[in-house]
Amino acid sequence: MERARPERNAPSAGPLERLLELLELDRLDRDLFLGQPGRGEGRLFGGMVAAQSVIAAGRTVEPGMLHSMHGYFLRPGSHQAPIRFVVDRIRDGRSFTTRSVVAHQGGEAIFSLSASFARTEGGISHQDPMPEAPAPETLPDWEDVRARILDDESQRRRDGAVELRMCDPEVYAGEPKPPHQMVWLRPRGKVPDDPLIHAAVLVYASDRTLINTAARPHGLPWGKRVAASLDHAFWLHRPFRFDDWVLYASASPAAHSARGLVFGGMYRRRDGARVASSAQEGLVRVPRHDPA
Amino acid sequence: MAAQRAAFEHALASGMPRAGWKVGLNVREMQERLGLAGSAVAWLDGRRVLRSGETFAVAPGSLVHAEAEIALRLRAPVTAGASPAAARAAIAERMPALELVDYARPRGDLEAILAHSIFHAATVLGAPTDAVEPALGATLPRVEVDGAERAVANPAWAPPDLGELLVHVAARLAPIGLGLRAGDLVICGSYVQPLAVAAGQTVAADFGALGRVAIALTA
Repeated sequence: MERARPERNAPSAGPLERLLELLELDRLDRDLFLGQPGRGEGRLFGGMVAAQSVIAAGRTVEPGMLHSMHGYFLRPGSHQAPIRFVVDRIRDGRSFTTRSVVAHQGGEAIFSLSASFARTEGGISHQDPMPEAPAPETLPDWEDVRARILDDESQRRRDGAVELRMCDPEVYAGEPKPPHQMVWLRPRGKVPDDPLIHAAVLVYASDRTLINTAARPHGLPWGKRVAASLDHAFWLHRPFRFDDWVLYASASPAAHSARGLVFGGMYRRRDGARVASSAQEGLVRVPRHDPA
Repeated sequence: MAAQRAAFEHALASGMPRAGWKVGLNVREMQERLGLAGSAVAWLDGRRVLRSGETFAVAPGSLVHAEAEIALRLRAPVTAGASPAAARAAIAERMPALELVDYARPRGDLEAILAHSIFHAATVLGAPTDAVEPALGATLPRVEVDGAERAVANPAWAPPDLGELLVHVAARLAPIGLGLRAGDLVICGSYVQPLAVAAGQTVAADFGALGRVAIALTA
């Protein structure tokens, strides 16, 4: 007797619940997973495909904690077709386990991932201090800023699984700013106790705002540029629960040929621990305005 | 299963020769999610039953993987209520086999994947062997691509008692009005992790004393 499949992305579900459901992949074979793209318009958010790929890789590893991932966004994903995640078990070592994942949609590869998992061990430990930043409670929700940019309150959405508060929201006036920024991030709800899901949701969050950092010095805020993530690297430095605010500080040391490079650091608000780092190269183009 | 039967009957009506059955979805968590007690069963494409040494054309955009399996051909029907011993007695031939699966097809969701035989693309059969159980289940294949060993079988993935497996297949088919007939092929599940292969490569499964099966993939 086959059980009816629960409806995906029920409209009544909250944004985090919808993301968590998308992270529940169907395991079709030992190393083959099927994921849903979720509802939406336009291309898929790359961080979501990266997070799903991390889940696919992690479900083939026992035991081990994700400590790094490197991914390439190969093609835009769509909301119209399920995604297949094919895992290759590159190596199962005593300390480190390596996986490769290719996400396919409609017969084409859209994302490739290399991920490494490690057993926890004692050893060296140091970090830079968490930067000074205004408290998130004093800052506006990105969705309020977004509605202001669009000048249309009806466009206001609460569909982000991760709440985002920018420490410098006035950048959206469009004047050039230094190539660094800080934002606060936290899930809009409780993440289940599975450490892999916490890691995946943090990966999801880490793909937000980085391109903006590279676009700042060029006066190209959101809505005034054409942008896409080209690749994404992420390192999780320590076991981490994504239950509260994380400060995401990023800086872009270089951009050329429409490609901007950004490095990010994620700090736990509670104790200032640097929990993760990221690096991304993003494509940032100025929209063409053909003369009439 | 109803959608699977509909797809099967549509294929038969379109001229596909009846070939037989495969077991799939061998991961317990997926079986539990679907409410299945044991593996799912799907139909083999009778237009794509190949002999060892033949070629298989890989369609553009495919994600072809090879699985090493044992294939059985039945001399008599096996019913859902048969004893494992009776089911074993219905086996006429045992052959080393490769199943080619294409993870890119069908393009739909889980229901479409189940209806269209769980990624099944082709069955490749070696010569019938005289070996019988328990040697059959205890002989683990090596899988080679272009002559280089790429995978060794996991003993835990060897098919269980072949008679029990046939009864399981019959029990899966009975509720949708299908069954195991004389002449049907049954491929019994992969001994190895599905191995990604591509056009231009030759993949082979060497079952030692049980024989060898190979297929060349072309563009």
